Amino acid sequence: MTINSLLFILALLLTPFVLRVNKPYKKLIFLILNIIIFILSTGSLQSLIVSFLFIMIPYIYCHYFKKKWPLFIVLSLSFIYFNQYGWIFNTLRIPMLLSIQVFGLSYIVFRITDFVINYDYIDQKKRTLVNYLNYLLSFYTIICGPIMQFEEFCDSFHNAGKIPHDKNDIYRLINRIVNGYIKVMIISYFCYHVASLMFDSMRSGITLVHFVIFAIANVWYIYFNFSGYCDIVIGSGALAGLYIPENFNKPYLARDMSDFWTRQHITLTRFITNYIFTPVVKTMVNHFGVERIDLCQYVGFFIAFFIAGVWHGTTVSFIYYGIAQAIGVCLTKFYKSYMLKKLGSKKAFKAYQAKKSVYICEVICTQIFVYLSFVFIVFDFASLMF
Amino acid sequence: MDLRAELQALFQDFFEDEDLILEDHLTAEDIEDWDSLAHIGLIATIEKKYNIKFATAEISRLKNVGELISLTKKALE
Repeated sequence: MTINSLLFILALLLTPFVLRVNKPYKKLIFLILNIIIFILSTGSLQSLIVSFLFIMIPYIYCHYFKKKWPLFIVLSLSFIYFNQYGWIFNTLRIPMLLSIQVFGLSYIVFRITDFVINYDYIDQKKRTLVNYLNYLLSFYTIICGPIMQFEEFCDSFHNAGKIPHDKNDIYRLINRIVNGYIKVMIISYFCYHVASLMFDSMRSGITLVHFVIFAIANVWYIYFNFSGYCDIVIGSGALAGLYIPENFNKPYLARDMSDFWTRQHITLTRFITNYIFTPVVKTMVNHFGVERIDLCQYVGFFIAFFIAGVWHGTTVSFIYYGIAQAIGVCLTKFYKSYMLKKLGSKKAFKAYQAKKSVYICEVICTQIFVYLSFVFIVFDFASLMF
Repeated sequence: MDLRAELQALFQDFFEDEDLILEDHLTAEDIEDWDSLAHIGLIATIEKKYNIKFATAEISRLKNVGELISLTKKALE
């Protein structure tokens, strides 16, 4: 299933009418709809059985066991196996056997993680199987996110007061959905073809002009495709009274890479911060002391972005992408602490940052870094380099 | 000294701001230097001071200072 498949469009059109009826059975109707879409999007019976086990085992496990780490080990290994990471299998010389696909695997893994980590703190009334399955399989967010938290999803689903009734609100949301489709189907389609053309022409040798056009088109393809997709699901979700969190906030106005990741794929940043960066850095701080927190954060950035890179795709290119992002955020931190030292006080640093010329310079530098570091995703640029 | 006053002193020391008054509704957005790294440092400092441990889920669910005070109180009980 993709954003322009008939199945997805039909679901988008149908669901607002179903969910606007604020009856207790609406979550069951939504569940039936999600299950139908999930079954139709899953390739084979074998994949369907495996998907069922992959989804149900964590739910049952949480009910009976307190220790969560054995489940996370199994989840991580299953994720690597189902996604078939060539570089891991080849390095360890493990033959890739059965090809089993779990539809929406990447985002399902995030949601299961959120559910499992928070399980003991979630209100028992919310921890029902219907809520769990709707959360995991919600057709709005299964393809490409945003990554919702379990309780955020439950609260949103049961908050009928958010269903828009005002004509202007409804038109505004429809406008957002149409804009989303324009972004995905026209602008990003065009950018992808330009990037693709440049990538192909670089197979015989990388030239500066081809590289620059490729890097820019690639970044804008990612932005318009993903933000357009988010516009569609956030807009249509809101029509059905379902709050889906924003995932973009003008990322190309960011003044450094740290700022960039609070504006781009916001829900992924929130997830990585909460469940990878914070535990890693806190463990290190507990061990080495709070006074070494600055040093610990650099290790935290590399671990967090390495995992984010691996999650994004199955080739080695994605590891370069993750490491490049970590370098970008570390450079931001170095730059800030250097300037703070040089200028002598926070007040002076603030005044320096308030200058328009500084802001423009920082935005341009950030954009250049994004163009350079994003060449590793979508197209396997590493294969051209090595 | 009660817990709130102790935590207020800890916050003032951590953020180097003697005028900082702890109120329940305060969030990271209200305190200038309270970013994700400062949050980790703050939590680690509280854990060390009281010899307690917060779970990852407890930390990620904190919404404001009031919840942090309640969580610390609960951990001390």
